[in-house]
Amino acid sequence: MTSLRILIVEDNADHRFLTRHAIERVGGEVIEVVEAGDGAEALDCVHGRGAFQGQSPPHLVFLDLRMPGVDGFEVLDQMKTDPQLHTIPVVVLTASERPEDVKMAYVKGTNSFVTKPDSPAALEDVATYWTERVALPEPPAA
Amino acid sequence: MDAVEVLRTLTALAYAGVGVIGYRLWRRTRSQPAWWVAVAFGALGISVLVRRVLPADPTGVALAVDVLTVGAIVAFPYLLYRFGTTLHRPRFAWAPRAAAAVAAVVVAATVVNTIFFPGAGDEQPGWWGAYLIVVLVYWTVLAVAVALPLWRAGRGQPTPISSRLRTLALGALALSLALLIAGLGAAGTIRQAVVGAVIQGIALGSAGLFAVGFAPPPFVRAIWRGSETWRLREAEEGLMTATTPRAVADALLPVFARLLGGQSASLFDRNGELIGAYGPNPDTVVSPAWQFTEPRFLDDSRLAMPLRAGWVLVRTSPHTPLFGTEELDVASGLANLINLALSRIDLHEQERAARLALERTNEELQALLYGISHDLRNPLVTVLGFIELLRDSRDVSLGSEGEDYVNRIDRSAHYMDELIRDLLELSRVGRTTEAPEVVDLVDLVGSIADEMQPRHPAVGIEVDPLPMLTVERSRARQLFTNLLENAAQHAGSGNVRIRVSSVRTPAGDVCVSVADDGVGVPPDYRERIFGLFERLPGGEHGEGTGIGLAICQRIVRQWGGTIRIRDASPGADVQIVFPASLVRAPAVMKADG
Repeated sequence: MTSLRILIVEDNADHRFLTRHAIERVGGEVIEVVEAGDGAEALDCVHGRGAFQGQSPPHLVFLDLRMPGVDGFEVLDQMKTDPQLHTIPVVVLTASERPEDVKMAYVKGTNSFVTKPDSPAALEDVATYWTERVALPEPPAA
Repeated sequence: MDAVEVLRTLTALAYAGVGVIGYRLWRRTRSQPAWWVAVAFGALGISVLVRRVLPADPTGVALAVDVLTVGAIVAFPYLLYRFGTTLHRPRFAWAPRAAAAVAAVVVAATVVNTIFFPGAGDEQPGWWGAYLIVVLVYWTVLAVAVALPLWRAGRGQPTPISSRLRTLALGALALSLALLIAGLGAAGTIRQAVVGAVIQGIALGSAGLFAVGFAPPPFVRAIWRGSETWRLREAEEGLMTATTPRAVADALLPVFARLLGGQSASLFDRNGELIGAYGPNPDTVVSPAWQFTEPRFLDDSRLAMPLRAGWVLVRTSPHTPLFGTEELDVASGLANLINLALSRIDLHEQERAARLALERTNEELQALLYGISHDLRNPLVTVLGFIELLRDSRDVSLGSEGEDYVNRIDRSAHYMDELIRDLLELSRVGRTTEAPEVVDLVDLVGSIADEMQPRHPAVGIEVDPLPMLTVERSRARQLFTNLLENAAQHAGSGNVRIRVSSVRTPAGDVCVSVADDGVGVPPDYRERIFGLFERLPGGEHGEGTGIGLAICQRIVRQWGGTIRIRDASPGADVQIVFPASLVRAPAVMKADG
């Protein structure tokens, strides 16, 4: 079985660590976690270029919004308007709870908006929910 | 003495009086027109009075006096005419010289006649008839030449100045009329006594008209000003409600112009900038060098009135310097009102600017508060996250001391989280873009109570009839959530009863009460507790951030209401007054209420 490839886009190294930790606790060995430190790296990853040359796109993306350079909104926008990539579920995971940010993220097509919780347990719940969804079997070919 | 003699004496005294008025006018104003008035009426007055006591058949010195006085009387229309030309340019340039020539001839003829044919009863020379006609024509023409421009100048809406001018015109014409009748009477056969009385009566009347025209008594002036009074009052009202200097100008300048007998007026600020103007040809420039502090005529038809912070320039009529002295006083009074109005507007502007600056500072502070609180969340997420990892880690064994330390760190970190959340909430109150809607408080409080149930199983919440308000729903939810949570948490025990009820005040406002039967709030904390970070003593920081009630107060204040804590013995009663304007529908009482 191919492993579930999950991309974490987050500029804060500590938060990346925590999110990865939560996902790995939930997913076990079938999960492969890839990290990107900013928006540009994230786009390289989903397009399979640059440092991620030749690699397949992720099955699920956890996306921070406020990053220097190319921010989360930009990444979201590009992914959701790309015919190849827009089916990849994106979970915005950010410290911001501003209504404007929530609205903007949904307008750009995010699948979910999660304000960074204060406990890894809650983070694990989010990870469980989405990995289960993404890991559902393919519908039978028509 | 018969009636005619009495009238004659009175007339002589009247003209002497007018002579005195003329002299005093000149003493006061020292203007050219006033000088001619003084000369004309002074000479006439003295002459008429002197002639009353002159012997019937003067000789020697008395003859000389006789000649002088009669000459002065005959010269009067010319002198009056010269007064007229100082106010109005004569239509024909040659007119003044022609008048002088004719006057000289008439005076000379009169002198000759008086010297050589003294007494009324003597036989008159052959040229007496022609002389009489010439005198009558000369007098009438010059009187009309003076009266007509004065009468025309007084046309339009009556004002004190225009009324005075018309009165003078009438006086001049009346005098001519008296003379005409006298001349006709001398030539005709009408009964002398009646004619004499009529002539004297008209002459007396004309003296009265001159007197009133030059020195109107206060009650006459009040009558003349009558129609102006309501206009002045209107202007004063306009002044008090003006909110810009331009509005002040629009309200006052027409009144200024009319009051001073002019057509145009302009208002300038202290830098000489034009604020507003009225009329067909107003001044638009002032000289910055002007330093005077009293109203002053710049030339014979421009008046400059200094204000505390500017100038009023009025284009008056040529009559104003002479006839408008009382109106100048009224204008000065109006100028004071302008000063008041302008400084009020100034203050208003300053206050508005200060308020705007304050609002801007407030907004900046709010934004700062929000930014800081927001930025603090990131490191906090890290701290809380790794505390958990530390606890759950199999690699690290903490021991009981380590456990204790980690627990303390964890509690503080959670408290920081709460503080930051509450601060963010506080800074967001008032920045919401939510629109007010009709909120049924019974539904709202009911749903909050249901939510609280799992966390506070022993708390009983009773909801009485409550009004429907037009407010932002999320703020209302925040307000009541904070209050109910507060009551549930700080009651002191698990099973507290909270009652939410409402009462209508006589003013139409609604007072909603959230009362619990817990430990209550000590009296000296009932005000302070709404302050930021204020908490009751004796509680650990696990008892709340001290921001919740501050948020409640800010929400309520935004709505224009008030919030306070009363003693409920036992317990505390938080009372919120919602202004009547927010109440959409009053609380529906139960049938047995």
